[in-house]
Amino acid sequence: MNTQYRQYEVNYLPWAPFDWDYIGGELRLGKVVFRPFSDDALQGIDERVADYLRLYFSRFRDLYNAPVNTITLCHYDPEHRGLLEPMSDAQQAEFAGIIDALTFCCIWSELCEALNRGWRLLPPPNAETLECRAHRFSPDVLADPPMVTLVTHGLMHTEQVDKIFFQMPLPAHHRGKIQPNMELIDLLNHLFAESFDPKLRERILRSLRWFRVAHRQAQALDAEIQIVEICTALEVLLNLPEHGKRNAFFQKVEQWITATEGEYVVRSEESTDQQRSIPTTVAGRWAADFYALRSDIVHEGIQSDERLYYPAVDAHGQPSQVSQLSVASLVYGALLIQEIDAQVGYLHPAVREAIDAPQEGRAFMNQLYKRSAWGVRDCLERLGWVRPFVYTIEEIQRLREHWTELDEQLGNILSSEQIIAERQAKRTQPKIGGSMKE
Amino acid sequence: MKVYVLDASAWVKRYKNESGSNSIDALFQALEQGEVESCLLPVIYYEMFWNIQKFIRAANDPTNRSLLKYSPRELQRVLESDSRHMTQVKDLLDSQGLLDEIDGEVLDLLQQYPIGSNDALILAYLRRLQERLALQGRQLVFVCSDDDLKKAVRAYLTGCAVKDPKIDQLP
Repeated sequence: MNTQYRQYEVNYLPWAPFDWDYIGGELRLGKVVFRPFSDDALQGIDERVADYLRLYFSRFRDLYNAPVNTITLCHYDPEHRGLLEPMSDAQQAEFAGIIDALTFCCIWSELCEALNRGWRLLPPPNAETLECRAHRFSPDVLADPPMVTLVTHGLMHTEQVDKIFFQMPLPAHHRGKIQPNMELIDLLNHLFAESFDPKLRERILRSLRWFRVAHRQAQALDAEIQIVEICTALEVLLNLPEHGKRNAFFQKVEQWITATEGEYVVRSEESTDQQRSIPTTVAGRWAADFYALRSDIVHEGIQSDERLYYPAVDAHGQPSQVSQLSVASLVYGALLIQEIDAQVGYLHPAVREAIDAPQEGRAFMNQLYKRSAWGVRDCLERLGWVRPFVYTIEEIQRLREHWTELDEQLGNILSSEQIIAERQAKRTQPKIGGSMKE
Repeated sequence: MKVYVLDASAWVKRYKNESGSNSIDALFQALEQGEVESCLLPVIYYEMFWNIQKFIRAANDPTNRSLLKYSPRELQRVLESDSRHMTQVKDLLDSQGLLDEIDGEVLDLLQQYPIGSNDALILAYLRRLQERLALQGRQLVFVCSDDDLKKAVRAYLTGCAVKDPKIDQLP
């Protein structure tokens, strides 16, 4: 297999520490299947080529010069194409978009987790952790000794494979395994479906590119530039107008948070803004200030690093600081999810599986499951943008008193007796292969 | 530490005044304070959704508006708030392959016990959850007010504590 190509091409993520036990044997996003590098993954490939790849990948080393176990093969369209078949330009462009989307899924889930808890156990994944490489080689490099052609500074040079090492970049080192949010992967799969609006897809993918760029591990001096990059991701995603971007931005943020959280949104207490449009929510105030921060960075520079942080509280209610990059990334992710969800009418997998669920319950169930899966609300609480759902026993008892009274007038829908009666009705239905024994 | 799984027949007492409601409140208070853990079984979750959705729809009917003191969405929020203290049991078990071949076990259960298919699924999930918790030295407590299901759980899962909020004080 594959020996017919004049040139081979293998695409891989060298440093991505996916938790394959958690994910399962492989991960699919769009037309690309990601699998850990192993002998199984090389099945069906010419033995000489397979040996070459084993040698080549054994040269990828961690900081202690031990071979890494993080090599992830990326197989574009495996149903129709061989693993080593070179991609066309169009396929490469699509593939790049898929890598950007995967990077978003890995970063955003951990970011939410970190914001929810208010602390990080591990450094967040960054764009370097999910660096994607392509290795192109022709059959003649398989000769003894096997060779590899490298391109540095635009110059090509050939080395003996067993004499070189590919070293893990420092930002990709020292982190735990990545457990992507599988529901998020499932949602983003829709982005690559043929039925998805191509213009919207193109805009979303462009914004995802900026998201990935903003999450390259920065040197301290680049932290400001990351603000500009994540802001660009937001501008592209929201399709902000040429003029009046700041107002348009905070209005979009206010529309989103008001639509999703209703009366729980925390209102802005004061505003000295003399412009016609003034943010009315704390989230809107953040958006207006964030855009002003971006403009100051671009045009004047900022005097203090303090502006790169935003006050929040941790899971124990203690004050903490989170980076503006994290806050903007959260808003970006929440808006991206909303945009795709609105396009495709996403059904959470649990709702899809509940095939016997009554139709009337599915929308409600879907909404709750999705809110739980995305985990945005908890983050918004930490930022002080929404009031927490906290009910004291007294409040619960007061509400329950009302619901009880109401339910009795509505015919006892909400009662343990009703639930048990519905179950009994199902239990007495004939079962396949079952007998009712006492 | 004990891990509680709430059956819908017990959980609903959180939202409707019934015998055992105070006991369920005490359990939720312990959950909020991190003193105990709780898990959600898919089947039970669906039942709660359906009943609460039916209630909200009925309450939202224009003919019933005059009866409303609070927005029916408040009930949805309380449910969302309560659910946040619980772990989806599927997430706990699925990633470790502990839900493999669960369909076969469900069919066996249907043949052995006078139960419905939802009950059989609950039993199969509980058994696997109990095994996983036992490895960690933790005990499973099933909270339920449905007498038939309680009987089936006691028969099938020896060692699993079964509590009824009507009778037992929780946690």
